[in-house]
Amino acid sequence: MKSIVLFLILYIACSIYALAGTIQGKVIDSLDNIPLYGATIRIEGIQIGARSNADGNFSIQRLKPGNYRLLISYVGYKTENVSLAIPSDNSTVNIIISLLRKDVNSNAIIVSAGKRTQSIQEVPVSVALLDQQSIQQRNVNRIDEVLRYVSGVNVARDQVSIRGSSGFALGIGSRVALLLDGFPMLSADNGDMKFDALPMPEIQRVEVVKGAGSALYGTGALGGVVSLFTRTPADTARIMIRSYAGVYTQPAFDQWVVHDAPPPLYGLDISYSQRFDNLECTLLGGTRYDKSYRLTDQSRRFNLFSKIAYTFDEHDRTILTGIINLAHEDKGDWVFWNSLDSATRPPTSSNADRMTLSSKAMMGLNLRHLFKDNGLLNIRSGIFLTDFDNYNLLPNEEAVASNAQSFNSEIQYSRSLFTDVFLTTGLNVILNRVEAPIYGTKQQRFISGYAQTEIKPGIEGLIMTIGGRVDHEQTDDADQHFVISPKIAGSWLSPFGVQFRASIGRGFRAATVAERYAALRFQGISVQPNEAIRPEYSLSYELGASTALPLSESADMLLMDIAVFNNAMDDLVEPSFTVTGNVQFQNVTAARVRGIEIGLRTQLSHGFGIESSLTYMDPVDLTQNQTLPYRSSILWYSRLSIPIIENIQFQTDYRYLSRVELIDARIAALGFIADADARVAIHVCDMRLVMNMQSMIAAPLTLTLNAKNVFDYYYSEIMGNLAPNRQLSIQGEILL
Amino acid sequence: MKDSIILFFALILLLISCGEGLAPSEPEAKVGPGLLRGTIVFKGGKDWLNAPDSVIAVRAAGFTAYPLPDSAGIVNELLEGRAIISGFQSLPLFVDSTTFEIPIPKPPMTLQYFAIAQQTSTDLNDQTIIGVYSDKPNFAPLPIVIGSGDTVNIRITVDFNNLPPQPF
Repeated sequence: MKSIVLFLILYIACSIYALAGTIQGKVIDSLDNIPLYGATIRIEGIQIGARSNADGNFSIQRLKPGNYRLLISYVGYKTENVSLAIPSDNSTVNIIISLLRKDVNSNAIIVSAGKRTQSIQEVPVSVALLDQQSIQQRNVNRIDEVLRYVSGVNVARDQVSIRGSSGFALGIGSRVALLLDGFPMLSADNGDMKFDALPMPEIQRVEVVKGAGSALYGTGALGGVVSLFTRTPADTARIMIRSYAGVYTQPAFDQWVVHDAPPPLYGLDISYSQRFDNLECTLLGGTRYDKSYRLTDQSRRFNLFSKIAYTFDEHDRTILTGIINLAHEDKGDWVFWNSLDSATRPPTSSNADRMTLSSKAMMGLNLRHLFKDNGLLNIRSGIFLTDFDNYNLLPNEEAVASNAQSFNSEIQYSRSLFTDVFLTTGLNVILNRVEAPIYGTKQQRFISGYAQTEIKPGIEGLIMTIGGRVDHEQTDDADQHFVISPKIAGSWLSPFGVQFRASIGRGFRAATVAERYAALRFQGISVQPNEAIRPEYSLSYELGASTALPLSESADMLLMDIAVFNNAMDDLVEPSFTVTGNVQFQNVTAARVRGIEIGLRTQLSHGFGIESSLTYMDPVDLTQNQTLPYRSSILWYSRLSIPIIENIQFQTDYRYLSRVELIDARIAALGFIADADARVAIHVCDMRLVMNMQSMIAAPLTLTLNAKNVFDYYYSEIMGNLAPNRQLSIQGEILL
Repeated sequence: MKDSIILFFALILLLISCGEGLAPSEPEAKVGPGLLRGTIVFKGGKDWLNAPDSVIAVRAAGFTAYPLPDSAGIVNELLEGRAIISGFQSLPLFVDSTTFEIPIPKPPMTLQYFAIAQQTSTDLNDQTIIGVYSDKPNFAPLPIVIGSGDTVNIRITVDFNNLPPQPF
């Protein structure tokens, strides 16, 4: 082992000093030829690049002779692709790149769909992108609040569903993978997302890959992948102080008023980031308090995040990145309402003082090295710890507690095999360890290998992708499982400017420790273990097309995207009622969700903008020959932004989800949750006024007045839970 | 384009106004007597291990005033209508759990203390409190409000290994 490490170090050292060609150039504004400082220049596929200096100049050195494609991006400008060739060693290629000033980011770079840097127009699956601006202006504190605005995605409390992949599973067993800078963030015990454990103020980009993604990402990516990327520091120090304060307005119905005054919420985040020569560092600390619109649902949270990256050479060829992310929450133990008539109170039989303390910690190291042949080695190793416990229990009341660790190590290598063939391959080991009174001490292990090849078969604009992943899963003495997840896909950027894409791939999710071993009694529901549970599978295919149409002679553009999809799922694990009235997770359902998704997005002159996406789904439970429970068939999300005057913009978001057609009737019939059947269509409208105060008070201050659920519409996303009513807040952000 | 935006916005407002949303049922003007319905769970099962000696009877009783008078004064509280009882007949003995119902003829009534008492001799004054309606580890009593026409359900767990403090 030591000799391998030594060889690796020597190989890295040698490759740094190998002689090769250089690309140098200048990035300028296409209208006035002003140099653009801080533009990012990346070589497609190998994650190497440079940043333009104050004169707009950049240089990428020690490149092997061959053909390259540069991706040049800059905030507020259209991303450009430039193909060029380095004819021989020691040769230098000079280019001038002029970027078109435009707010429409139609060719954004994404990295999660194929585990490498790609233009979105080359990705053969549906991907939704959310940038930092749209995240921050919405005053969101948790990732679920962001995902509620993404086409085809809906969130039911702790469960993210992409195109109907998930219904209601007591928050256990996410069918969507979650990554933070490439590190998995699903807990080892419940396999769920910890929404409060993410450094939202430092999130620069969110990518949502729709459809089965297990061919690259393995277990959990049954319905898709959500990837979060934190900000890359600039050469100048960036200090951000953001604070917000607000209230939930009192409900319109007296029966639901549980606080003497409108319950408050407030928070503070402070972050610092800067690049010093070869060292990049980011630090973030934050705290939040939310009294909640419901009784026994208050929460107090603390977050700390740190990212340090060290570049071993001046051309970003070898980068070591370390991440530490900590979160702590002290929260009331809300589960479901007493009844619709007292929807903001817990059941009278529950212990109103019961609290949950939870801690999450993620630590990771990532080493990236670009070899002289442009092969990219990416080694990533991390641990995600979760711990929760109850306090303020009644005598003899049973606590729900768990301590879990998920170790994840991955080694990925990608490079161009030939001019038109690109290979991504890797090995992945996951070890989940759980200690809990309700589960026992359990270990779950995954050993996986994957490979994906992208081929340009000679037709202009056509890229074919073929790949697959093999996973071996073993949990203590339970049956082991081998899973093969293949994928075939293609994208074609036609000469008419329309991108066509098609994909078919398999997804899977191994049952979590909680689903296998949970043995507890909670709020009248007894959950029984089921060691014989098997993984669940999906086979999803999609056909899609997208294009950008000019609306006028100016830079106004209309971006259109359409996709038809079919997601066939088998052996779905659902909480089921046994003949004795207990709950047990079982492989019960074969299902199919097919549908169509249409998205329109404009960015018009002077800041006008409109976005709208419509997803229609037909979710069918093939086992029961009925509608698949807990799914809406129509999701319609829209956004509008209007500049009021200079530096003041009005924005509004609207979400519509059709009424969930079916829930599990047994839950209502057995009386576990009073008024479990109370459900309506969801109409939620958020509005905000974003005021850039720089020109008014000469301070780098942005004020945002936020009104969430502005029409105070009452609805539930899952049974027995009234969703938040109207929330008014003001947010101030100082950027130094 | 601005017309399209205005149309779009108007459409959204129209859709929102069409949705009625969830709402609680209209509060009804309730009349008539109230009812207190309870479940007693005996922790440890039907053997009642460690129960105080001499199990003569078990009853549920509630009081509008707390602290309680001495045991002799309790009878007076009952006669004056300031206390209620599950009946002079005992509730079932040596069972896992049992239920009771106590009519409230003159609501509203606020019970400051509600308890399960075990009679330990033939003398009616020999009572030991074995359970209290409370949500606190120290058995601090939790008031019960019964309005006109209301049916209030309560649940009390009796743990013979952890008896509440005696009120007199």
